[in-house]
Amino acid sequence: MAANEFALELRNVFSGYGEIEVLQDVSISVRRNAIVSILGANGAGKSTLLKTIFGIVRPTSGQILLGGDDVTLLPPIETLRRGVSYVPEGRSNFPGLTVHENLEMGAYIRDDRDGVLADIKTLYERFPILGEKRDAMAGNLSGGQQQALEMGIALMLRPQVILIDEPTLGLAPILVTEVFKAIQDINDGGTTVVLVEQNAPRALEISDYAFVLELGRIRFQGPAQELAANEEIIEAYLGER
Amino acid sequence: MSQGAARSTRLPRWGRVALAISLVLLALALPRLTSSGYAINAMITTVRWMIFALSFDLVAGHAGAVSLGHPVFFGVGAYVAAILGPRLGLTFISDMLLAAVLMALLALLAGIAFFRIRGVTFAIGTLGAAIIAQLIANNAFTITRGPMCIQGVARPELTIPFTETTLRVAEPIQYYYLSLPLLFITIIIYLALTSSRLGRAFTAVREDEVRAFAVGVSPLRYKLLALTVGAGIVGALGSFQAHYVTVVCPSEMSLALTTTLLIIVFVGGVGSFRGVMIGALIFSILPRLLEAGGTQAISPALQQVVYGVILVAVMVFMPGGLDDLVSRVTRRLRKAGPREEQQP
Amino acid sequence: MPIELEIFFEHILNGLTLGGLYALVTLGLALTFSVIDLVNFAHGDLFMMGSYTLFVLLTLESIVLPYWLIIPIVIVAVAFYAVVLERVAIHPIINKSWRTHAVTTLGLSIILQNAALIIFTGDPRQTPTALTASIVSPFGIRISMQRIVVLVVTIVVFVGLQWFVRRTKTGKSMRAVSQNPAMCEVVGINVRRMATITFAIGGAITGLAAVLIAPLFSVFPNMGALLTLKALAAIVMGGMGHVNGAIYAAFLLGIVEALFGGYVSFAYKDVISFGLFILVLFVRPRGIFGRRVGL
Ligand SMILES: Nc1ncnc2c1ncn2[C@@H]1O[C@H](COP(=O)(O)OP(=O)(O)OP(=O)(O)O)[C@@H](O)[C@H]1O
Ligand SMILES: [Mg+2]
Repeated sequence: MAANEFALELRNVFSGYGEIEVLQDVSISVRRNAIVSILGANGAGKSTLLKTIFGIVRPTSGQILLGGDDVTLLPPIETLRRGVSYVPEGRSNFPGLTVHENLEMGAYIRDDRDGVLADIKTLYERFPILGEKRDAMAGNLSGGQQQALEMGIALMLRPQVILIDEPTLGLAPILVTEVFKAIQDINDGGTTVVLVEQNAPRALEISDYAFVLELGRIRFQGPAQELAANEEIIEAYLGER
Repeated sequence: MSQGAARSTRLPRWGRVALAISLVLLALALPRLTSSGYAINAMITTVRWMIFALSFDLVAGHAGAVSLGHPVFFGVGAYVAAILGPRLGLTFISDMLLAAVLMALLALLAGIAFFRIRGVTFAIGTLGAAIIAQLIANNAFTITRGPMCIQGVARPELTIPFTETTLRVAEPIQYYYLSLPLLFITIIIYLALTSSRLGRAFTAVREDEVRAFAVGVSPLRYKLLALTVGAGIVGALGSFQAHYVTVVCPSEMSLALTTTLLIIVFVGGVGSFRGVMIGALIFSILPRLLEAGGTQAISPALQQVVYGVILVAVMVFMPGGLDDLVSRVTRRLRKAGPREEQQP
Repeated sequence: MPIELEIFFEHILNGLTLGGLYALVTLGLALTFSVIDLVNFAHGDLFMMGSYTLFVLLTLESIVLPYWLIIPIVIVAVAFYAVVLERVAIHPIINKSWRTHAVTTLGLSIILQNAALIIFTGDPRQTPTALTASIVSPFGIRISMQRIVVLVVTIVVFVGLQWFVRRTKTGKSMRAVSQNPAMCEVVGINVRRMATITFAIGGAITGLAAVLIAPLFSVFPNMGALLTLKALAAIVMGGMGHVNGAIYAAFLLGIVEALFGGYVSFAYKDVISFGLFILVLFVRPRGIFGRRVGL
């Protein structure tokens, strides 16, 4: 049963871009149905970590397990097929496609057309604004709406694990609250969430567990409340920006 | 693209000087080794392509602006010699200077207009301009005589300084010795523009214009410099060509010249002096070798097919060109040979 | 109708056919450009290859193929040529800079043109069909059926392509690739496969153009070079990557050429169209119709 306890595991992973080694000896375990935050300063390697899990960046050594299966060197398409969706940082949609078409692209690897349409309908209920804007070009939506759309794209595969990179960057405070609420909703629906955030206090509020990255290494880990209460860590690694 | 290659096989300073001197001596002695006019013509062709390709590489390789209109400056330079020269009563040297100055000016104007255009659109635009120039040369009968060509351009007459004698140039070997100074001047200009500080500025412009601008290098100024100088050189070359073959046709600015330039520069090694020189040498000699060694003359079309295949193969498999290959081979040899101090 | 007006309409009709030719050739090139961000300088040579394929099929000694059967054969053949080019030479350099793209495809163009010169010699070839000879004269304007077919087909292909990229899954993912290739990897769209599909479609359209239009002109080895540049001019004038804009620009070029060639000077008609192109480049570098995101 040990294999099933964790949705995602990294064991001693090293990874980076060509000569540049970013992640060093990173080990992470993500419990099923948890929200796990990855925190750290700019350039710590948080995005690289998500890209490595998803398969865009290949690890140079170590092991990545999904539900106990070794997926270390699999390309993104295989990671997708195994139920892992990824929401990259920055704008990550198709600006000249409509909202509806963007969601269809999210379901690109699915073959059940009717199921996809039903799921899009469900999604419109969850994010009514997307339903209202279904025929608008994604590029014409506001920042918050685009972020909602991008999470919607990732949800089209009904993922078991969703990797989200800095979803609140550049959003107004009210929208930040909405995004975090949406992430909790996604998690309540049974999806394991790996969340990268600069806004550590807010991320820790909704997380079960958190890891702190510094210069490509895990410096701290622990239950979210413990980290949130640890002044020392907050000051040293998650300080104001 | 190629600065790594240049770094890896640098000879020590005295070695480079010695190599340069022996190459110059070789260039001077070469015609003495043969009496065949055919061989000497091949040498002139080689020198011509070296000048042509170096001037093109200044623009395409160092300023990063792959202009598909470079031969226009060559062709118009030739027409300047054929049309303006006689009317103004100019001599051979002043003719070449006039062509160089006019082409540099034309390039300055063209550059100001075209360098506002970025990326592949620049290549497309310059190709369009080249076609326009060629169509005009073909159709402006009253000026260029179109495909009938302008014939009977005067052969050079040189007054030897401090003497009364004038030298009438007619023999290939004389033309060869006349072309060498042009080559040496081109090489000196090329090296001056591409080495040291200026060269680094060019590299910055080619790699990333926005960043170059941020570190205080004005991309436009450097690109204009490269284009003006390149056009001046090739304008003079066009004038030389007119006085050499004594006929000027619209084909002097044809696209075939552009493709040959691309082949020489990209197969040799774009942005590399050594690569461009090797490329020019190979593609001037190769067709003659094929002719001499093969069964009868190889058709120009087949030759072009072979060139095209070489070009595509190099782009796909060996993007650094021959220059890169030479670097790798010499590095391999050094590693295999006696241990030597590693270059930093 | 007064004779002047008749002549005027004839020029306009010629311009429209020429525009149809440019539009069909442009369509394939614009498609590959906007989807995979590669300018294929050998595109016009696909048209040339299609034209020679037509010539060969028309002059077969063993069997006489009807034109309606030749049409699909040429379409498939040119789609095949396009895919071979893509697989062999373009696929390996697809992630390189535009300079590499330009030089490589110019190299392909040299190979194709000279191979055609070797195989077929430089003599212009004719590929007449039954339609070329059949003349209709609505309103007293004499026009060959072939030209009418070209115009109708151009419009049908244009509308069909619109439907394809708006309504089908493959079409939508082609647009997705053109807008955000990095994001395609995230949702599982295989960008490389889309590139091949795009080349196949672009080739098929070019094959169709060749089989319909070659009968109106003569076929020779470097007929593609000028066409490539016309198509490129249309693409730039239409606003790089804006396929519809490129089509309008192609028709504009065709009509301007026909009118200028008819009334002013036939020899300089190409100078005028390229001059117009350069003018647009300087005055409106983003194209007449402005730039849009992707396809
Ligand atoms: N494509 C790349 N090629 C080379 N180096 C990269 C690349 N992407 C990121 N890096 C480097 O890897 C390191 C970690 O980057 P990463 O994007 O993972 O950091 P991050 O923690 O996500 O930072 P941020 O908060 O800015 O998003 C940085 O030093 C960065 O410069
Ligand atoms: Mg990041």
